[in-house]
Amino acid sequence: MFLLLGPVSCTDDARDASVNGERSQVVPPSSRNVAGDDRIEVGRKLLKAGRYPEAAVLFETVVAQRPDLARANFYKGLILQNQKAHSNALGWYEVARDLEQDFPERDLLPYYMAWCAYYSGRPQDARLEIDQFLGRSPSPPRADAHFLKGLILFDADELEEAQVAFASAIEIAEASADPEQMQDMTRAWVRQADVLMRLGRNQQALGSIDRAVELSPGLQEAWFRKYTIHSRLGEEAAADEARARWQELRSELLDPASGGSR
Amino acid sequence: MRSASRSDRVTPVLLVLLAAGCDGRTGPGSGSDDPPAPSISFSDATAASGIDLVTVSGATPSTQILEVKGGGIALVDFDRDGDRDLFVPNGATLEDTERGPGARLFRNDGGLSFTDVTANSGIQHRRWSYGVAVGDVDGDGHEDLYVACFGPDVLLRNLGDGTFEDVTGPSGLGAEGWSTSAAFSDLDLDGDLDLFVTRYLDFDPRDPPPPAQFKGIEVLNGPRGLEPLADRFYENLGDGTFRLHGPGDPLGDLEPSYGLNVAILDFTGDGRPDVLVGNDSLANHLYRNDSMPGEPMAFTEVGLSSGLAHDLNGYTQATMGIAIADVNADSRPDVFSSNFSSDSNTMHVSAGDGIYDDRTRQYGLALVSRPYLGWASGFFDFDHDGDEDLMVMNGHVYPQATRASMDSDYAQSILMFSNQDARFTPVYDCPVLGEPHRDRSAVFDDLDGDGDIDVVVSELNGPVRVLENRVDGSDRGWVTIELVDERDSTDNRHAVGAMLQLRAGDWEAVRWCAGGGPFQSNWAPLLHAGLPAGVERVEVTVRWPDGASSEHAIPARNRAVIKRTERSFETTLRAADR
Repeated sequence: MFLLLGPVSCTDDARDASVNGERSQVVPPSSRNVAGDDRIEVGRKLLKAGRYPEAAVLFETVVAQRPDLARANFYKGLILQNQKAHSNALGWYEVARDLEQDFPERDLLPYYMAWCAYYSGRPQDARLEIDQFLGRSPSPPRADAHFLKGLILFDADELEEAQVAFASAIEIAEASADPEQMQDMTRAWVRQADVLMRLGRNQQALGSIDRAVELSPGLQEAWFRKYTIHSRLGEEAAADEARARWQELRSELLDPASGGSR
Repeated sequence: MRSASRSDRVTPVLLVLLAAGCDGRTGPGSGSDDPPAPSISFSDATAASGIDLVTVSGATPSTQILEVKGGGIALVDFDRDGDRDLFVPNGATLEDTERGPGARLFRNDGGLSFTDVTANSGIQHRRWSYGVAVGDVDGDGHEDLYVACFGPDVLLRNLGDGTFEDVTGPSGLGAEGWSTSAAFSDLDLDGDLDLFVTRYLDFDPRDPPPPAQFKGIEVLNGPRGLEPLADRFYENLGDGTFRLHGPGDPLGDLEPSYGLNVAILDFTGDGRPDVLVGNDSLANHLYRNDSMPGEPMAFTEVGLSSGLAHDLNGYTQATMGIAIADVNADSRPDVFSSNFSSDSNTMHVSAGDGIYDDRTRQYGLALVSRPYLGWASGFFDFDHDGDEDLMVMNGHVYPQATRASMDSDYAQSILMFSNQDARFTPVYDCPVLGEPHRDRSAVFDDLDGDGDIDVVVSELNGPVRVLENRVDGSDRGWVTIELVDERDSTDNRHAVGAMLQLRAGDWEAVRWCAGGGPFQSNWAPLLHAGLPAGVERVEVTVRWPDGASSEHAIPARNRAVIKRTERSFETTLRAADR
């Protein structure tokens, strides 16, 4: 079940998963209202407590016994997504969706499916899902959903639209005044800088990366971009300063334990 | 990209735990687009090819880093019959690095049939070998072989009668150490072929380093923690000898690194050949050529500022395979590199003025490659639709690698990407490419003269395989072009450093005659282009290495040789072999 991208396509991963023996036993119920299973709530609490291995075993058991439960399939997908088995997770999410049942996390399905589709190399599917999620998301929407939309648009070379999406993510994160969310959205500032550089707006890109550096002074990726932007602007002293900091951070990041291999 | 996945990561569980109850709704369909119609097709032609070589490069399973790179392959027209033959230098084992089973030379008899002619070739090379470079070092019209070895490298001079002579000592070559790849090009702009050799690290088989850890698993040691070596530049003095550049020379004080591959062409757009070195786990080097004809050589290392040293996020990569193409149709070379597993391959696209941007994601090449550990790579129009596709050989270095333990298997399939509207789409419907192997080096060439690009691939401690391109050449147009410079004033017979611009109506393409190769191997001096439907004639502009240009018209489905003499340019044509 730890399937990543194999010699078949990412698309095929999910397709294969949907017809394997375990999955083929799923019989869609005729009604959207089926009896639940109390173990799902137990599993959810295990996850909340950070007890992932136990939760994984529990949901494996539940979904094997109750493949007709959308919520069980959803959590099975979530476990796999957490293990970065995105293609495989997507297959379980699709089953959860196709069962057409109500469950508390139902509205989040497109969000998760979007991330899994993105990491499975299915940007078109990711775009459909994240658009659906953002279209129905209650206010205030999640910053990282806009961030994902920005990534998808950036990858598709839709630069102006990507910039809007990253700006939305930033706006939501900053408005939240939640330090953790703001820190988390440092990556949106970084990615916004990438977009602005591609658009040739190097000064704006510099502003974006400066904010990223302010939020996360130890983020070497931000310092590397700061060096790159200064360098391309011909600002050699500033470029040298950024490069020195980037190299300092890089040397700190080299894990001594990795010495001898990679 | 390694760092992209780090920085763009989400933590899925947390959001669920924060979620409020919602109404259940039916989600949209998430089926993917239909796969492209199959158009790239290869068959395994090894059995009938006459190539029966199982290479040796250490033991299986590998226990030391010396045993994981595999050996190279060279395309060399040693008998000057117009097709390229194969030279496989082969390796040895830790028990005796000087006496392996020996190199092999296979003569191309046409129709993907080869004959082993090693016995009568004078080649008695048995040292543990890695890369090969091919070039006519003395301008006598015969291609010579430079073999990068663990131990002194070797220069085999082609005597023109089907035999080779080891001239390492008299030529001034043959430095000790571990060389990985080598490339010929006229770096000092004096008309002969100079030599650049990448070197890896200091390794003593009698005192090997202890095992190390990777993802919590005990694996072979290196490269980190082992002493890197400086690459070497040898200036061709034009009299059959080379001078090793040392301290104070323009390419004599090179920073030691874990060099694995090299590509030499004009990366900066100033008409002079630059040197790109792919380094393992350390920053790549780009030596910008600032030389002027008739003046002392001058080079500046500009890898960092060019953008080619790192990925988008400033991380170093492994950079085994290098492939060159103009993927964004701006007539400038773009650089693809293959990398370690859990990292992605990288597509550096020229932004002009010698600046490169990592645009791997925009070209669809990022996420798909993360489970693969890539080696030899090549951009070629395998399906003859007018744009270049991408082929990447794969296989892990750690025998312990599995999907469960390292997110990557030991034996891996070849990755083939079809170019579709400036985005590369994986092709999975060719069974021969889907077979798992421990592939390392490869060469790309129209070996059977039918107009399409075939592939010879070398597996670590496995058979050399011949993959025949099955594209239907009769329906789709193509041209191949070879350059020959017969002027007395140059020894650069195959015009290494030349650039070709091809045009037909709205269609344009660019090809480079570059030094270096896919990985520990060489690019053939054959420039190939598939043509869009309906194109029956191609206008070609050749920019020769000395800055001269010539114009030619080549009918589709022809193999052209453009010969430059003192007074003229002559084009000879030959139709496809059937």
